[in-house]
Amino acid sequence: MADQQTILEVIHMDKNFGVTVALNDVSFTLERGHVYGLIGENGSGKSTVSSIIAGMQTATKGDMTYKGQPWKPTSMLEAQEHGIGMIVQEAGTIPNITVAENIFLGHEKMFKKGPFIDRAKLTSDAQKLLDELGIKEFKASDRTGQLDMQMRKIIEIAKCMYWKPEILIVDETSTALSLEGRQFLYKVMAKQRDENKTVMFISHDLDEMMEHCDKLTVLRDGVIIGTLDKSEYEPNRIRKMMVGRELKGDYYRSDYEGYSDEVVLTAKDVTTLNDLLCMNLELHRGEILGIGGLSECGMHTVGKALFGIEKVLDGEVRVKDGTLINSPRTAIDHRMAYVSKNRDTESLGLSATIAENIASTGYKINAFFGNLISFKKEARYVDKQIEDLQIKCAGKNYMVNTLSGGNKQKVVFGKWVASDAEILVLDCPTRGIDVGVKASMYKLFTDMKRSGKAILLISEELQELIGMCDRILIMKDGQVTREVMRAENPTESSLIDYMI
Amino acid sequence: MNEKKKANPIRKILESRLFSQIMPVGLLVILTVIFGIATKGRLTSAASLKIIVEQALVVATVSTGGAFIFASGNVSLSLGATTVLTATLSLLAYNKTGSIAVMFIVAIGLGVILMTVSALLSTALGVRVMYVTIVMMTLLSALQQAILGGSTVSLPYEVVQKLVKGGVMYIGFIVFFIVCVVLFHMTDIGRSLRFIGTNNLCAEQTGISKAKYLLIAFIIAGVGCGIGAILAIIRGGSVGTSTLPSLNMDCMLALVLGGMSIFGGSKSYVYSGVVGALTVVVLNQGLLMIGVDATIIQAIRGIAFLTLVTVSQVRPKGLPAPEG
Amino acid sequence: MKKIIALLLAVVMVFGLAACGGTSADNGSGTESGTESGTATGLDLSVHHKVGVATVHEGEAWEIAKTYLETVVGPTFNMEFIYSEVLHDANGLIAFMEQCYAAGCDGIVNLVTSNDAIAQGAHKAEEWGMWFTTQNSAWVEEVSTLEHNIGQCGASPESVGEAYKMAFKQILSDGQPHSVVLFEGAAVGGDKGQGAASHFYSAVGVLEAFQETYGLTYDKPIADLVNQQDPGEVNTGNPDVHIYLYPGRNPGDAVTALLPVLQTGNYDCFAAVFSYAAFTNAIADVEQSTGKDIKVIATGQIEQQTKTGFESKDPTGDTVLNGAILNDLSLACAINCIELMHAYSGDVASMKDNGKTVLLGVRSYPILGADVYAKMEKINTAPELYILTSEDLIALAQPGVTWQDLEAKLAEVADVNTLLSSKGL
Repeated sequence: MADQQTILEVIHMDKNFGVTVALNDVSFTLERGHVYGLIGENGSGKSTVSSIIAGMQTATKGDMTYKGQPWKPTSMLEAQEHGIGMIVQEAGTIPNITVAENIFLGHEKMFKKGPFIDRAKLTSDAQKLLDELGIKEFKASDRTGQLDMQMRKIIEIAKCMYWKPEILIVDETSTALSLEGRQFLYKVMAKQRDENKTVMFISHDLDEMMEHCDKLTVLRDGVIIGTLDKSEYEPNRIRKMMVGRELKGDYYRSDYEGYSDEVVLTAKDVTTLNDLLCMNLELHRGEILGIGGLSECGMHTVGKALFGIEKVLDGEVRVKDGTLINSPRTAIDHRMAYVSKNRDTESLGLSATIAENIASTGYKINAFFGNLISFKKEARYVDKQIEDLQIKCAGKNYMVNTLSGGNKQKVVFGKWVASDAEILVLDCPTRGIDVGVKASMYKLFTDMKRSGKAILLISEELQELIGMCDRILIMKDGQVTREVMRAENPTESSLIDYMI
Repeated sequence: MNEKKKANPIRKILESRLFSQIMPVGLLVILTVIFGIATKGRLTSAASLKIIVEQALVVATVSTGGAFIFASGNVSLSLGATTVLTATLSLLAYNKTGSIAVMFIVAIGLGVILMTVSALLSTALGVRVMYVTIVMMTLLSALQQAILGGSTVSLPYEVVQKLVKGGVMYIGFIVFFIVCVVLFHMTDIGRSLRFIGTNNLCAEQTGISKAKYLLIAFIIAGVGCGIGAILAIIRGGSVGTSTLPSLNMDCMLALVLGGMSIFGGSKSYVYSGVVGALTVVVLNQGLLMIGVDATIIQAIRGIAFLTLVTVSQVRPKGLPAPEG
Repeated sequence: MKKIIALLLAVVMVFGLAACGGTSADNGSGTESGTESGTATGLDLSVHHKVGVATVHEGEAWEIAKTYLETVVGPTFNMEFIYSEVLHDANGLIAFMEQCYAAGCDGIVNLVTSNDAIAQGAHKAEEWGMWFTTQNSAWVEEVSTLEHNIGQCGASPESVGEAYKMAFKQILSDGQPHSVVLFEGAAVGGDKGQGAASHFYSAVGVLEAFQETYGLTYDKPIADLVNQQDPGEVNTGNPDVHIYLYPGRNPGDAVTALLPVLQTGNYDCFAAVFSYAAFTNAIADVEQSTGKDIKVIATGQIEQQTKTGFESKDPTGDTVLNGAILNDLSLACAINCIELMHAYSGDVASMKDNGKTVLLGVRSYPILGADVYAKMEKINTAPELYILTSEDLIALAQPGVTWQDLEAKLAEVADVNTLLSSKGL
């Protein structure tokens, strides 16, 4: 019977944050033995709904039933005990304790032996769990801090699986995982389905979602737009549902326009303390120059070294007029801009307002009498960016941390576009951003290129490099090892070959 | 993830910028009105209001200068010791020369020098401002102790009277305050310091030099200490080792009561010190006037401050811990 | 939400308490200092006066004095008192005086004992026409001629020294040779206005008592001995009598330095020019190890600490504290208020000596033994047992009573035995 198959039902759920509506009359049903996908742009409400199911917060209105009973969890712990487990986007493991201790964090009581914790049993139970899941990369007794981020994410998965959840919620976990890590996660999800249990999978990656989900539910602005069966999957259709307008499948640039011969930025034999060794590059006017490589190749340090943040021990970075770039100030004075890979910690003042963030590049530009700042000029400086970049916000005096990821990134761009930067050093500028904003970013890059600006695009996404760049530099061991021209029409696999 | 942030309407109000700007002023007005009624208008009489303002002046001046440092997310603990040592030495300078001008020059010069030393030590050694200023605080107090021993230095009463009649206290404060408002809210100095307070990594990557602006902040704070020292001399007529023992704490308290975040950053206002200092005095004076016992006043003040600090320091969840 | 409730509660508390205080404070407010000096108008107890009391004290002895002010002096003189928090300097005093002025006070009793606080306070009071009276042991000449500065009283340093001398003479009167370790505190320079005058004269008193009892021949004048910067043994000229002087302001350091001196077993007396509290354990240790009793004489007040000292036994079975030089805060406060009453009556002149303030000496009481202390302790416990009762206050506040009369009264109550018998104790 279908009803017995139903494990969870969400009925007319609303969730408001103050005046913001995160969920609006959301209803759906989860059945046993399926992997459900929940997809939508940043801020569409997909994480909100899953966190309500998992007991992290409560709904403003509406009901849920779980295994036929009314379901109103008050904490994640309660949900966990009843068989709903969630692997969260941004939870963390504690580095100074062992893997086993992280797995049983908060449940040490289970191993109580008199006043003490039976560490041996705790470790052996954890190891048993790791064995069951087929995890061989590390042991339960290992110190968590020695493991890389991927492995730590796997600890979180293991931690969740210990409770043998009937509904497993996976929220944006795969973004932090490598290929092997993802394979592991998919295996866990498949096993869950095979055991007639349920998975709710949330991800940005459309390909991944289409491959692993039996059904896909699309959310937009807190409203369910529709649910598709596997047979109905079609990327452009899904994208359209997500953003609410037609999006061409290929939102990268399609031209082969080339770039000017004029070199605007030169790095010569740049060597830094850790990552770079005699790195050379030339960036031209009107060029989008890509840098790609494996994660340890040093490409993220390139951006910092070019912008004067990372100390250059040997070699030099110069702009067109020959000025040596050795600090962010000189870089900015020579119309350079830098967008860090770590948006929230390095590129934004989260607790400052949108206006304050954008205006931070314009103190000199907006001054009218000595150092006195013209409030009028400043307001125009900010308003223009909010308008041009279509930053979705309740007002420019709201804190940046009220914005979704994509809009945050727009603020970062806003401050540099406003400063009229000519040379943009962008480190993973589209990381964690949904398709809609991504497309508008790519359009922005193309427009900038056409207007003669030079862009250095450091990216981990090969598709992005191939789609956007005039030239791609492949790095390995802190050096540029290969140059690939747009005209060569490189493929992902050819780039990977160069990287290895 | 932000959309998961718990945000009920009251929290939203507390977090809103307007609230943090208006609440302290509103509180001051409400306190004044309530005590005005309770004392049958005696608290709000012209003479009483003048007294309230004069009592708040020293703390208001020093904390207005200090606001520049606090805005950058740094905590300075040496404002009090700097002010008191400056007052001591400028009084000694007056006693040596008999010139008021010399006293003023020494006060402001010394305030600036002492604070500059703190700033340079912090940036040169890469030590947090708080640690450097703890050391400075101890050092400066010891220096004052060594200079004065157990004795005190005083300014002749006629000179005090002359300065009071000349309105030096008001002029000194008002000029300094106006300059500070302009620097803080209308130039890159205040904006940069606030941005450093919000996220100093981001500030650095936006070309805002922490070392440079911190030095400027300390110099302004030093001027505040110098003027504060002059005001303290005029008010007390003398300076000794027990003069203004809790000035630094009073200033921090005033800033927080005046609506500034102790973490600095975006919610930093230069007038916080003035509003906060006035609030403390009104609370004290009002309670005393309606006959509340001194020990109970202390207790009430403690409770009121704790509550206010808790309320005014509501920070959105999920923010990175402030640096420095 | 919790924060809002907390805020509301705090506000309610603030104003709730304020309202309680309001009822008592509001009757008879708005008093002006209506009387001008020079024209005596007689003692008028129907006029209500508000008086600010700026204190440097806290603790039990101060609470006793406050009770006296509240239950005896206030009702007798129709005075209402506003007390400060503990103040330390001129800034604090002036801020408090400003608040008092705004609150309608016409008199200040100042217990903040730094010369420049007194000077600045007196100037401020003069400026505002508030009457100003002070407790301090040193006379502040700079402001002595100000019209509204009406007087000073306090334990005169000489009288404290006198009390130490009397106490020691009594201890030394058993005919045995005794030796003493004397913790002099800030005595060095006390006669020249650098250290503490009372510490200086206390040390002098002790040395004089020894000299007169044993006919000692010091190799220097006593003042020079007391003014020596370094600790050390005094040459007494008598091999059986040892005197060790230790100048220093920090009792903690003194304990460390004096422990080995006491351990020699040469000394059977210990005197401190202020509280003995810091030395209690060290002395008990020495008594334990040497088996010899050490007599302890120190400054004290009528409070639990002194009582405990007299009532508890040391390791040799003697009492921990053998003699206390008692200061009575209540008496000094009463004198200040009497001076204020004279000012209110327009009779400032009789409180002054040719237009200058006078320092009235409040004597210290040398108390030897628990039995005397037990009686002394009863002073200040009931309206009729205070040194100055309501009747005394009215008698001394009558216009025409002069500062000489007050001085005579202070001398009259200066002797412990006379005082106790007059109270029927």
